[in-house]
Amino acid sequence: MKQNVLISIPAFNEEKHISIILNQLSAFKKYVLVVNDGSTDNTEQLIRESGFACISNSINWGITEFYKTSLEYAIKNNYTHMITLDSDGQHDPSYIEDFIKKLEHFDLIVGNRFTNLSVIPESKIASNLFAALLSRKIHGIILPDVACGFRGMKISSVFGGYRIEAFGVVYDMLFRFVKSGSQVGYVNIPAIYHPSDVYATKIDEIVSLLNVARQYIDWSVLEKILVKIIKRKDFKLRLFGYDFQAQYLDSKEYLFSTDLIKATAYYDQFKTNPQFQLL
Amino acid sequence: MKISIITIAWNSGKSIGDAIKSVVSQTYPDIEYIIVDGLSKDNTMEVVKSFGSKVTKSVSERDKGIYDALNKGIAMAEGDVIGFMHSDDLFADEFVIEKVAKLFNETGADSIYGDLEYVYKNDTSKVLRYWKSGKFSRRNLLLGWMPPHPTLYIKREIYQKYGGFDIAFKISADYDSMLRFLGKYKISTAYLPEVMVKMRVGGASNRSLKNIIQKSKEDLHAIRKNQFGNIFTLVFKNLRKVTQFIKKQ
Repeated sequence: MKQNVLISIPAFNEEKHISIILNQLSAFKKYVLVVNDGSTDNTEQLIRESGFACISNSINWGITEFYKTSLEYAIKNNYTHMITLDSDGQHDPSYIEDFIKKLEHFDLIVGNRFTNLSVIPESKIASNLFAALLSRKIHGIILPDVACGFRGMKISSVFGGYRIEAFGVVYDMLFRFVKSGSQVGYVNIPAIYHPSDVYATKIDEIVSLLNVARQYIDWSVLEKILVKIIKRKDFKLRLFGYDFQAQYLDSKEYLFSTDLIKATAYYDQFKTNPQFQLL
Repeated sequence: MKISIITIAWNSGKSIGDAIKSVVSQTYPDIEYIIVDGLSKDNTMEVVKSFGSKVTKSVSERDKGIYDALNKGIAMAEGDVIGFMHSDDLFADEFVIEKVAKLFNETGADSIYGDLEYVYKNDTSKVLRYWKSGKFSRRNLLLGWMPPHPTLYIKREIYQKYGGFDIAFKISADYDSMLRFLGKYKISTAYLPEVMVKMRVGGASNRSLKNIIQKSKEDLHAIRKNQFGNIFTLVFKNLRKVTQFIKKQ
């Protein structure tokens, strides 16, 4: 089914990394689309020189327009599926085959970066689990990673007539797929972090996640968290028996924490529990 | 002093360009400009995007109304002071924020407000009526006085202490917040006796009789909620609008 899968990557001011990923993708060249999203550096020139298909936006529209542009291109060129990955070196293209395999059984596949927790900063583990469990509250599905941009999907009208510009679109896409009755799965991919770093979560990203969630569930707790963020107060939330604390750092960021033993057990189920090893 | 300016937009493609231009042409250097769009179907986001990085942050997603969108903007703001520029409005000139910053520094006040001009939709140089605020006093606040909300600049620490807009109010959340800050919690304020903002006529708060009744109900609820004022506050508040119309003649 490989010939029906489009591989689409967004590029915004990626002149340093773009050649590396294009090299890695050379075997798939015919099936690759690069969306140059308003870069002001040499990104577009590098893509054109490499001979990859390229669509260029004159301004930086962000991730939703990237998905929309890619979907339109895929429909026009009779692709049945699409895989997206970042062009900044975070996503290793050698995992594309895994996505293609799983797309035979699922409509949406989200990359799971949380397989080897020892290389991931604790705060990142906590904030990701927070997002995964809040997502579960909305759609009921148990997933390890709901924010990863390395994804595979069936071409569908999920983004029809829809323009959003916020980080929340990565969640919204997942919720829309689930709502339309689609099967959602995951592929384990390596995570690239510096484990000693503190990964605080940007307030904009938390607000985005809460806002998307509030569109699907009427849960007054979420409104209370937004009030706490306006007040720049710490907040706590218990989701499915997991406790989260978010500590206010500065006007931009919060630091998430959770019980790491429980979090580790949560992520381990995706390695060991056969119900999650569908392929 | 970083000043955050927040603009809420929804299908504002026709007017938002003027609003953005008037913000990005301000002479004051330390401005954070945030635009929160409620998933416009027109070219609003094209216009926003055409200003590139002059707009510090922009989001476009569904929200639960104007005040929910404003709350999101407040949550994302990083400045020392927060003010709002409606997508139909514009600054009177390019020195407004510079003057606001200067007055904050001179007075150390928690908030600043000024005067506002109502202008014609299609010719913003023609003034329809003039809202001269005058000096703040608690007595006046009790008698229904309030500063024009689009001219009100408030330190972010006040939002941090006392919260943003109460989204239970559909129309009068701005009045509620002003009563809360100025009446209940007695934050300090200073008056900039100049026109800060030009507002195109036809605001969301005074369109139909149904809205006027709903607004009066909410105003009264805000008065009761903040335990500041009484039914006469509301009566005088509505009368003030009438005198503004008379003054213009």
